[in-house]
Amino acid sequence: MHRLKALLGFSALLGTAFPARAIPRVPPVASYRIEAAWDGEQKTLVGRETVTFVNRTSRELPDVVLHLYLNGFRNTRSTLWRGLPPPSGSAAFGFCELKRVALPDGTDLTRRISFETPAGDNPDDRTLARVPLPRPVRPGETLVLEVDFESRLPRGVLRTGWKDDFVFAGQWFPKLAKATDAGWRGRPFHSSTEFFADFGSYDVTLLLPAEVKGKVAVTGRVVEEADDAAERVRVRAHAEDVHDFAFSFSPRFEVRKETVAPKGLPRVDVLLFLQPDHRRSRERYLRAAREGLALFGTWLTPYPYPVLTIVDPPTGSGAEAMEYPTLFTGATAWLSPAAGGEPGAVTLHELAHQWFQGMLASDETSEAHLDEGLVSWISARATTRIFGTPSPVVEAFGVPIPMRSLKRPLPEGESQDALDQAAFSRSDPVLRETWRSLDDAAVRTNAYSRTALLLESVARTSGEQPLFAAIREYARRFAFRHPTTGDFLGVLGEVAGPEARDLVERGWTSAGAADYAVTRASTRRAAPGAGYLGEGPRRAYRAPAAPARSFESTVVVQRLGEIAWPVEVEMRFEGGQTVTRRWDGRAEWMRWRITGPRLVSAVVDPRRTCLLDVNRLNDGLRTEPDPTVARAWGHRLRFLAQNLLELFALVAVLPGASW
Amino acid sequence: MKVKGNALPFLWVRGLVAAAATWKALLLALALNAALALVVTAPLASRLHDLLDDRPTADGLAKGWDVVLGAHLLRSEPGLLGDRARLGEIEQGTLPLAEWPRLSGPLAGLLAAGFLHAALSALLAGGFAGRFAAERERGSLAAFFSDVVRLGLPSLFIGLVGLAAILGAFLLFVELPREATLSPDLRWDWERTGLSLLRLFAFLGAAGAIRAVVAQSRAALGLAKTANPVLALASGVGFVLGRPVKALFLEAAFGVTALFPLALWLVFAPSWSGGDWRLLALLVSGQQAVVLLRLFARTAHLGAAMAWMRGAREASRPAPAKIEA
Repeated sequence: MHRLKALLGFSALLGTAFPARAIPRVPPVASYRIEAAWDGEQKTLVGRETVTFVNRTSRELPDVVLHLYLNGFRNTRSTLWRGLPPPSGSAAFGFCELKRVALPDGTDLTRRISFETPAGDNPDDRTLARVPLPRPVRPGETLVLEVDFESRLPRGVLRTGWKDDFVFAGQWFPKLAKATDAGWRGRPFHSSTEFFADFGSYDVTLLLPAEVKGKVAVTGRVVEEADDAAERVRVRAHAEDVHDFAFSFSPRFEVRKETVAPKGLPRVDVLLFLQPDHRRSRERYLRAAREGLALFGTWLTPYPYPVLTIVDPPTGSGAEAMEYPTLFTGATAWLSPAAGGEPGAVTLHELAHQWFQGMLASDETSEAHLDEGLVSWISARATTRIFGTPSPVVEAFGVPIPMRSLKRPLPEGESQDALDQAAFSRSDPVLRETWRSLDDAAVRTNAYSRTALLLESVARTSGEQPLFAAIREYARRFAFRHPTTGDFLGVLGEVAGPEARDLVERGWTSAGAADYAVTRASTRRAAPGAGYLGEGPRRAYRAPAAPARSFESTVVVQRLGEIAWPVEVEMRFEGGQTVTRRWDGRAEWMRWRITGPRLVSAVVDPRRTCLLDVNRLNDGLRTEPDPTVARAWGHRLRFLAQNLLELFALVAVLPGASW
Repeated sequence: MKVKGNALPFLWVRGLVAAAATWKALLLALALNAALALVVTAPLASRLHDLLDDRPTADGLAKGWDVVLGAHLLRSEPGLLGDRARLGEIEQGTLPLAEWPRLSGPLAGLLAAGFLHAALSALLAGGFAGRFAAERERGSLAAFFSDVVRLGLPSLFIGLVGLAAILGAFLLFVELPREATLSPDLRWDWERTGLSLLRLFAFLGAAGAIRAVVAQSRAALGLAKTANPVLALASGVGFVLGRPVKALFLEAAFGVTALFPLALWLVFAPSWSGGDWRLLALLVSGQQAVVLLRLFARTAHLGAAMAWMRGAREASRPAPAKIEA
C-alpha cells in the first residue's frame, strides 16, 4: 500500500512537472535513464545510462550512432578544436569515454565500437561513435542499450564545463544521433554548430557534493533530493518531451522561484539560479522571463512546459547564453547597466529558443538559421517591446559605461556584422549547411544577424501581422516534429503569401548583398518641342525656344547588389511636393522622367523596409549639394581634435590632469 | 595682486594669478592648438563633404552620431578613419602600445599632430617658466619669446623624459597586467573590475607624479641661473620626493580645474546641426573658452609650482645676520 501510495504520489509529482501540454506531441523516440556521480577533483562524471530507442523511421537500422560531444575537447586534433583557441593547460581538455555498451541480455557490444569519420572529414575526431547491432532494429521496434561511461568536463568553454565551484554540464553523456528515414543523422562536433536529437523522456539521478543541495538547476524539474553517504546529495530530475538534458550547480547560487501566470496562458514556475555578484540583474532576468512568457505565448504558442529554469553563470565560465529544453543560461555582469538592455535581451533570446530549439527542434547542425535566425528576430521585437531600445555600452577598465545619448535599434543595431559579411566576404548563403560554412563568422552572421534582418525586412515589406501569423502557424504545426527550411517556407507562403516566401528565399539563397543606389538625380528647365512637328500636311517647323517654367527631372535607381527587393522611390520637389513610385527592384536599373516643379532629391526605400541594403548612404541623391551635415561634423571634429591635442600636451609634456 | 603662503589653496590661487598675467601667450597657445586642429581635421572634413553633401540619406547624422547610419558610413568608406580593425582595437582598448605608430589615415594624422602639439607646448612651457620666474614684464610677448628661445629646448628635453616615463608607466601599469586583470579565471566580477581600476589608478598616480616632477623641473629651470635641464630635472625630482603627497594634490587640483569646464560643456552645451550661424558663433566662442581654460589651468599649475619652489627656497635660506647698532 505504501509503495502504491508512493507510486501514485510520484506520478502526481511528475504530472505537475510534465509532460508538455497544450501542443499535440509525437511519441517518445529516444529516452534516457542516467545515474552519474560527480568527482569534483577530477571534474568527471562517471555513470551508467539506459537508452530506450523506438525506431519510428521507415527503415531498418543496423547500428546506432552515438554523439560523444566532450571528445571535442579530448585533444587538439579534434574537429572542434580547429575553432578553439590554443589550450592553456590540462584543464582545457575533456573527454567522454564509452566503458561498456551492452544489450539488456548481456550481449557486449563494446568491442564493435568504431569512430565515425564521414568522408573527407577529420580521421582524428572521436565525437561520433558507431555501434553495430547483432540484428537491425526494424521500424516500430524498441532497442534498449546499457552504456557505462566516464565524462570529464573541461574548464568552461563552448557551453559546457566548470569555473571554480560553478559547474555547467551540457553535452555530457553519450547521446544518440537523430534517427531519420535516411538513417542516422549526426555530424562530428563542430565549433560553430549545435545539436539535433530526438524527443524522449529523461530520468537522471546525480550524486553531487552535499553543499549544493537545493542549488541544482536541471532540464525539467528536480523531483527528489536526498542526503547520501560521504557528504553527498542524491538529486533526481525528470523531464519529458525534451531532446536534451543539462544541469548546473554551485554552492553560491542564490535561488529565486516565481510562479508566472500570464493571462489566458498556463502557469509556469520560473526558477532563477543567480550569482551573488549579479544581484542587480535579478529583477531584469525575472521581468524578461515573466513578460517574455506572456509575449511569446501570444505570438507563438503557449509555453509547453510547467517549469522554466534560468541559470546565471559567472563571467568567463564559457556557459553564457546557451539554451537547453526548459533551461537556459543568461549572461550579465556585476555593474551591467539597465540602459544597455542586458540581461533582458539575452534572456528573451534564450527564452525564445524554448520554442524554436526546444519545441520545434530543427537541425541546428545544418539549418541553424531556423532556430537562431527566427529567435534573433522575434527576441529583438520582444526586447524592444519590453525594455525599449537599448543604448550601446562601452567598457573601460572593467566598468561598463552606457552611452545613453545613442540608441541601438534592434535588430538593426546588433546585426551590422551581417551587412559587413554581405559586403566584403560573401562566403556562404544562409542555406548552405551550417557546418560547411567558411568560418564561425559566416555561421554567426548568416544564422543570426542576416536572418533577423531578412525577417524584419519582410515584416516591413509584406506586413508584420502576416509574418507573425505564419510563424505562429509554423510553431503550432511543427511542434515536436523537427521541421526543415522547406516546411518553414511552405507555411510562410501559405499564410503570409507568396511575396513573403519569395523574399525570404531570395535572402537565404544568395551570399551576396542588397544594394540600391540613386545614381542620377537631375533636373533642368523643360524646353518646348522643337524641329519638325506634326504629320503629313500638318508638319511644321518649330524653332528651339526658351525653356518653359516647368522642369524636366530624371531619376535613375540602380540595383548594385545581387538581391532584388521591391522598393519605393520617393522624389521630392521644390515646394514640398513628393512623388512616390514603386519598383519591383528586379531589373538592373530603373529610370523615371517627371515634368513638374524642380526636383530637389530622390530617395530609394525611404521607409527603410529593406534592412539588407548594405549601403544606406547611396540610397539618396540631391540635385544640389547641401553641406549642412558635413559642416556640423567638421565643427564637432575640430573641437574633439582640440581637446585630444590638449590631452597629448598633458600626457606627453606638461603637467595638469585630464584623466 | 599678491597672494602669499604655500598651503594648497594659496598655491592654486597663486598659479591662476600668475597664469592670468600671461594671457597674451595663452591666446597664442590657443591659436596654435586651434590651427593644428583645423589642419589635422581638414582632410577628414573635406572627405565628409564629398561623401555626405549629395546624400539626403545622411541627414540623420546632422544632430549627432547614429549607430546604424554610422555603421553604413564606415562600411561604404572603410578607410574613412583609418584601418577598421585597428579602430576596433582602439575602441576595445586592446591595441598594444607598439602598434600605435603603425596607424594609418586620420588617426595617424592625429597622432602626429598630437606629438607636434606636445612639442610646441613644451617649447612654450619654457617661455611660461621664464615669465613666472621674472619679477617684471610677465605679460610681455617679446620677453615670453625670448624665454622660449632661452628655455624652450631644455623644457622640451624635460618633457621628453616625462613622456618616456609616462609611456613606461603605461606599459607597466596598464598594458602588461591587462590579461591578468581581465582573466576569466577571476571568480567574481568585482575582482575583475577592482583590479582593472587598480591598474588605472596606479597608472594615474604614476603619471601624476611624473607630471608633478616635470612641473617642478620646469619651475627649477625658470629659477636657475643656467638653463641646464639635467640639473633642473634633478631639482624637480628632489622637490617632489620631499613633498610627494602635496605635489600630487596640487596636480589633482589643477586637473580638476582643467576638466571642469569641459565636463560642463559636454553635459550642457547644445549640438550644432549645421544650419544656424549665430548658434555656431556662440558655440565656437564657448568651445574656445573651454580649451583656453584647459590651457590656463595647465599653465597655472606651472605658475603654482614656481611659486611653491620659490617659497620653499626662501623658507630654507638662512636668516640674515643681525646688524648691531
